[in-house]
Amino acid sequence: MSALPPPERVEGFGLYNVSVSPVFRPGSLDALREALATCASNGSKPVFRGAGRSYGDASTNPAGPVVEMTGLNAVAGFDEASGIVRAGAGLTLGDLWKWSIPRGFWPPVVTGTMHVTLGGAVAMNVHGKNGWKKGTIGDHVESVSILRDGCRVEEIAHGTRAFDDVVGNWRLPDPIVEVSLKLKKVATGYLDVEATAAPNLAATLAGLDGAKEDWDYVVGWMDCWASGRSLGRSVLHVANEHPAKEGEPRGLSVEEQVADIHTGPVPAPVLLLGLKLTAAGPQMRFVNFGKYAASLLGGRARTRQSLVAYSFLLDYLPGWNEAYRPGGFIQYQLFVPRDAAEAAFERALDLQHEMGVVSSLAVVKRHRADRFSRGYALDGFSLALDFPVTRKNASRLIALARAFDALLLSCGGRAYKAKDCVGSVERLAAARGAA
Amino acid sequence: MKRVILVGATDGLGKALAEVYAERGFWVTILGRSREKLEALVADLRGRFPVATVNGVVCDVADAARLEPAFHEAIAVTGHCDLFLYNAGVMHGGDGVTSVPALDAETMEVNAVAAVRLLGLAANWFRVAGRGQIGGISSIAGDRGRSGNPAYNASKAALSTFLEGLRNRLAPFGVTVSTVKPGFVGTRMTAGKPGLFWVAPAAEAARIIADRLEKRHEVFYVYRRWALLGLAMRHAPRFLFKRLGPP
Repeated sequence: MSALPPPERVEGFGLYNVSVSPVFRPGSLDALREALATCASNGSKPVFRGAGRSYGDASTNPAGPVVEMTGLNAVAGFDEASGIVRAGAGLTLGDLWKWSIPRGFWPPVVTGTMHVTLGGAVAMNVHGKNGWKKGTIGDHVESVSILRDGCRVEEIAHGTRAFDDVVGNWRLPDPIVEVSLKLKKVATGYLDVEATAAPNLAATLAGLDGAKEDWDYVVGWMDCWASGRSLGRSVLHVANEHPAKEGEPRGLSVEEQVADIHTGPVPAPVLLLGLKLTAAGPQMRFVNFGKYAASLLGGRARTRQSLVAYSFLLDYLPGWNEAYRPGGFIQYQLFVPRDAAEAAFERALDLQHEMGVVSSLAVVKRHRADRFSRGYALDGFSLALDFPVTRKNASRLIALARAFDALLLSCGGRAYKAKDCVGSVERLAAARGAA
Repeated sequence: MKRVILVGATDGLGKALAEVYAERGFWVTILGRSREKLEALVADLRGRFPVATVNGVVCDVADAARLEPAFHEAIAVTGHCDLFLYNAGVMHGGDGVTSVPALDAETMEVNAVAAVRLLGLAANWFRVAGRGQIGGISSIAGDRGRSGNPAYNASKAALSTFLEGLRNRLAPFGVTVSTVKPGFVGTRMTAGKPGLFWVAPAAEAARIIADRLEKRHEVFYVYRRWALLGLAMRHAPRFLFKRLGPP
């Protein structure tokens, strides 16, 4: 019987959740088998971790070992005609687009960071800004391969019951080792992006709802500090694929994609320091106001942006989460049915004001109903919020999170495990199970 | 948002501390010997403080073989741990002149040896986690040996010194270690004892302790005036203690 490796600190991306766990980092299928055998012989059940981009406790294990899957990251095959790529579960979306964009393909669904693994994306059934048109990533996965019982690889095709049991199952007993994903053929690597200002919550939701058929990508950046008649005001960003035109660059290279990422004239380390000084403070109020005001002044502006620059805002400032040490931060994403959304989000905003804990960054999206039984998305809207955890706000923040739980329970809403830092998913499940 | 594990919290000061943390909405995991008391307390706290996440782990600290599994169980149900507080303690009264070796040994076992075992496990966990806080409810009684209860004094002296060592060991890893010397607290332990003064009600003592732990104070008493007395105690000449009776 081989011993477990020495324990290490394993953190969720929000840095609030942490576990002390032995970590295996298999670089091959055989090494993975060996790691699982070691876990089994020690009587411990491992948790599988991708790149650790879930904000909360999804990829930590307070009760035992963690198996980090990023070593299984080879592209195993690609069918140009169908666009189906078969790759190791540890391959990140970042590695994938860098590989696929020169071939004219782009992942059908991407998260706000490119540093998530395919396996993690499937286990969380992640969504992107095109949630209405494209659903969640599970909709585009042709098959997954599981290492069943630590020995044999079993391929599970889309549409089977076993497949339904894998997608969105963040506590899979057996690891996903390979994913076949149908990529999207793109004419160019650019999007036409339109930004408009929505003066209040009703306008925000109506704007997103109205744009969902004509635009592939639909997202709102909400200023949670606004109150009264401006409650829920947002900057809406909608985008469609930029068509190929004669004589224009097509943007199908990594260099062209990355060239569009601007953080302005301020160097990244200075921005990071600025974030550290302001992240937990009321200064974010002015940042939010400034963003809204700029969009008002700019009018209905249309710009061309690379897919990477539009999709991966979270990657503009690498290591930004470190600015939130020592307390870390938590995310909370409320998924609410369409007809309940306006009242529920109004309450969610009011609650923040009442408790004196206001999210410094808030994102609203339109979703279609999830097709998987472990799904979280529904025909409606989501509001993603983030809050730094400090000594002063701790009691109010957890009370706020529990009030959000109750709000979701009362309106038939859902919580999302990739963002869950305070056990809301489990609490909601328990409350619904008991009801 | 803190996640707190309390050892010995089904009674007295520990119970009051559990209430304070539950009231703040935190994660509270209680280790206690009696399953019935533990279950009743957990149910009570869950009912009164629905925002909090309250769990119990049955653990008799005198059962050495149970400590490591109980520690890991506590971490698993708490998710992670920001504060691990050792509060278990016994004080056997006596006639003040006769040693009862079996009871003295039990005092050392619960107040010191089990503390060393559990806090050692916690120290290893926190060192790797690179953050958080360990605390022990020690006592001003550990500052000097007194005629009334030498074993109790010795057990608390051992706990205080062990905590001091852990503090120095863990400082480079960003972990705080706090030694609490409450002074007299109105609990079953002190009930009916003569000659007490500056007695803090358990709920008030718990609130003060929680606040000062939050501020990461390292060695403190509940009422600050105890610090003066503590200073005097530590420096008083030996002959004085020969004339002083219990406690």
